[in-house]
Amino acid sequence: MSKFYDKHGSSSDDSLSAFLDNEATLADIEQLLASDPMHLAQKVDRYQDIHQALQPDAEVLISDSGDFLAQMHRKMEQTTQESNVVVFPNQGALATKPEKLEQVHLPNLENNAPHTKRAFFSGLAVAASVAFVVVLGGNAWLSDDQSFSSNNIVTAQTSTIKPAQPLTALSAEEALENNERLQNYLRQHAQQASMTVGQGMIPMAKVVGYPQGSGQ
Amino acid sequence: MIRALFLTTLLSLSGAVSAHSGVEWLLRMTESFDSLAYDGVFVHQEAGAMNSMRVRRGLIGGVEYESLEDLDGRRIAVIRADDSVICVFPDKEDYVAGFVPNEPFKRFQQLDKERLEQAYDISVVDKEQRIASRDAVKVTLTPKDEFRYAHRFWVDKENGFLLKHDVLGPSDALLERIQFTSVTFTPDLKASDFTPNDESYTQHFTEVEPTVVERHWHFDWLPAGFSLVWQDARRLNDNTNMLLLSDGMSTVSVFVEQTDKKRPETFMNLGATIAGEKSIQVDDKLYLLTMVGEVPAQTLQRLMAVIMPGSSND
Repeated sequence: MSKFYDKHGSSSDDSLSAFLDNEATLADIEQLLASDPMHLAQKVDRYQDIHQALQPDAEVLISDSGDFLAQMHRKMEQTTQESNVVVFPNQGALATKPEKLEQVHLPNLENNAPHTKRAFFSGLAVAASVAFVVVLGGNAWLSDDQSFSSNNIVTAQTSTIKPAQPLTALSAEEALENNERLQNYLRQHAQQASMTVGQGMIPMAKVVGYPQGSGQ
Repeated sequence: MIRALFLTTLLSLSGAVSAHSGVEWLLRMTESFDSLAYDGVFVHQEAGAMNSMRVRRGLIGGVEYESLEDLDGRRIAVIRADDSVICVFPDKEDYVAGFVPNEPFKRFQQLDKERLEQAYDISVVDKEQRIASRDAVKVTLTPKDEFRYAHRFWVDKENGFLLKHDVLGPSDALLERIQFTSVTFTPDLKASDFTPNDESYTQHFTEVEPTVVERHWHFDWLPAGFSLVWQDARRLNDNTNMLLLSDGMSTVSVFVEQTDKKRPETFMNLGATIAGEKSIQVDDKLYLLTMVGEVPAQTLQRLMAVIMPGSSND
């Protein structure tokens, strides 16, 4: 299938084209998920018209542009079915002597193993309207040297992380899923940090200051 | 307490404040939170969000009180009276079960000079500083590697109280800031200042000893200066254990829970705080590993790659 480009040729257009060609990478899907779904649906309709005009007998690209996001989500799920689970083989009881690191199957840090945008801390992020950022990329963030521009406060990136995207494409269901568990973990962490770094209650500021609840 | 008073007195008498090392200033800072009475307002700034908070502490009728109150938004407060902690939610819809921390904030770890010096170059900036109308001393912690962030502390020249704290990423990008805008060390505090009003929704907690369980995980690698704070694990609930790593300044919390659902490796951050999760399978059991810490993402990623079943790191 040939690729379609509109005259603006933006990166989201490239990602959309790749998706329609079934060649989308995780980065493409992330790009699309971060885009305005209505805008994408309109583009799909336009591409579909062009495609039909050029190849009337070809299969329909996407039968329902309204289902576009759902298809992307399914694609994303497929993409992330790869080995994200670390398996420790033949360990026996947990307390037994572990295998050495090189003897077990660990996530592939040597290539761009997929890291998926999910609703991690999402309830807090949504509730507090602050810029939780999903850090993506595999080996790239361990080797590349790309810093992010900042004005005053910036979200945390190291000089080796890329890319990062705001959590703009979370479903409400995703946002709710981990909220309670992760808020609890954040509180536990802040509490322990308060005792470790010796700043009184001040480290709890980040927890107390966050709006609570999962439905906001 | 006695040590803190002695140290404070000693430093006050010396007069030569600039002669003290960065570590000594950090020690004073730590002790000041456990010895001074104070009432101050500070701003917490992180990831583009800003909150003003009020923090108070005082010894009233032999009871040690401390409180932290959100002055913006929902005005949630945490109040401590000796070993009891109360979380106050002004509105019913803000009430969150389980908000109260498992342990109050009383038992601070001692500053570990050796570990800090393994991880950071610590220095005092020889320049007049002024924060919240107080003369301050600026102490810088510059990381010796890429596995942690830089810190800048401004501590009160007179009593060591923390007046400002910046956490800086690469190229000195500001990740998180705490800065007092006003503070008094002679507050007129009463017990009633630490009593929630009858219309608020509260959650009480009285300290119990944490549940210590055998640690079943260890790290094949740790950044210089980092070590396990507890040799055992803490049980949070029937399904979740917690480990804690620290280099004396930065902390990483590790939560391990049994799960029946595989999850992709994910990292997210908010200001200086980053979190990551991944699934680990050991024999026929699946575990969800979650780490939260004020460290760069690559540190968390590496830690998540080298956590192993077993209990070494002793």
